[in-house]
Amino acid sequence: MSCETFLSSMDAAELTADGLAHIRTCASCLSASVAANPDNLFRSLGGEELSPDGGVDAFVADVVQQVHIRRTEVSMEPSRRHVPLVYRWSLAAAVSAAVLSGFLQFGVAPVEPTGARSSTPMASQSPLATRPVIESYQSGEATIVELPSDPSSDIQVVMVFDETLPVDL
Amino acid sequence: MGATIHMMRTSHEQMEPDDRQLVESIIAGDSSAFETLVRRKTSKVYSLCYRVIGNAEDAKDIAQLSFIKLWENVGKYDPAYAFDTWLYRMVTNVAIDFLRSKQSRDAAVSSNLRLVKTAAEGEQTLSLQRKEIESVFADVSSVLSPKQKTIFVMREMEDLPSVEISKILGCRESTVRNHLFNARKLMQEQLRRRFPEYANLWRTR
Repeated sequence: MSCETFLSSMDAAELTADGLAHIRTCASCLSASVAANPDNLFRSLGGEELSPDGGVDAFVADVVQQVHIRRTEVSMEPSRRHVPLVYRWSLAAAVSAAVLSGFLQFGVAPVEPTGARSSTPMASQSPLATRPVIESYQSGEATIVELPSDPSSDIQVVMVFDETLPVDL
Repeated sequence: MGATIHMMRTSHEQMEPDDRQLVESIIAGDSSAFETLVRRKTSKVYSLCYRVIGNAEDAKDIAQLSFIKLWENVGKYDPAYAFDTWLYRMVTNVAIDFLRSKQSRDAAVSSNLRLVKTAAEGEQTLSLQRKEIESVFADVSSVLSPKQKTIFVMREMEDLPSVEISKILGCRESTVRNHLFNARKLMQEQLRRRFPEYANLWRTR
C-alpha cells in the first residue's frame, strides 16, 4: 500500500489489514494515523514475528535438552518411590534384630515401645553387642525413635528411619 | 508443467505434517516431532511472550517454559480445538503468572526508571521509532493488570480477533471487550500524563 492510498483511506474507523501493515513500516503515516486514533501507536508494534536471542535453532536445542532432562527424571521416579520403601524395611529389620539381640544378651525383657518421637538426631550412644553399631548419627532427614530403656542399664536403644542410609547398613 | 508443480506441492505437503499430526506423533513417542513443532511455533510464541513480558531474557524463559508445559500436557490436547488456541492458552497462563509474580513488578519498576531518564534526555521533536514506542508501551502498560495487558497485546499487536482471545483465555467475548476497553482507556490516560508529546499528536489535530 502506498502512503497516498493509506492517507486517503485513513478516516475509516478501523484500519484494514493492509493499513495496519503499512503503519508498521512507515513512520510518517504512523504519525498521521496516531492523530486519528491513539491506539495505532501501539498497534504499530505488532505484526512482525520475533526470534529469541541466539536464534531459533539454539532456542529449540535448549527446549529439547530440557525436555530430555525432564523425561529422564520422570523415568527414574518409580524406582525412587520403590527403593526407599525397601530401605525402610531393611533398616527396621536390622534395628529390630539389634534390639532383640541386645536384650537377649543382657537378659532383660523387652519393653513395649511407647513411640516417643524426637526430630533431633542422636549425638552418640553406647555400642551394642551385635551389628549394626551406631556410634553417632546426624541427619536432618532422619526420624529417630528412642525406645524406653532399663534405668539400671547404660544401653540406649533407638530406631533410625532415614531414606538416605545405604541399604546394606 | 502444471502437473509437475502440483505433484511437487503434494510431495511437500506430505513431508510437512500439520500440527495435529505432530501432536499424535509426540504422544506416540516421536521426539523429532516435538522438535519440529517447537521450531514451527517458536517465533509466534516468543513474539507473544516478548510483547506481554517486555524484556527479551524473561520472554525467552517463559517461551521455553511454555514448550516444556506443552510436552508435559500434550496428551491432554483435544484435536477438536485448534492447536494454536490450546498453545496460546498455555503461553498466556504462564505469562500472566509471571507478570503477577514479584520479580516482574521489580522489572517493571527498573524499566520505568530507565524510561524516565530517556525521556528527560530526549529531544523535543517526535520521532516514532520502534524502540522508542516499545519503551513507551513498557511504561504505560505497567498500569494494566496482567490479564488486561495480555488481551491488549493479543488484540492490538498479534491481531487476534476477540472471539479467538476469548477461547484462549476461556472467558466470554464480552469480557475480552471490557478488558480491552479499560486497557485502552488506562493507557491513553497514562500516555497523556507521562508522554504529552505523543498525546499531542491526536489532541492538536
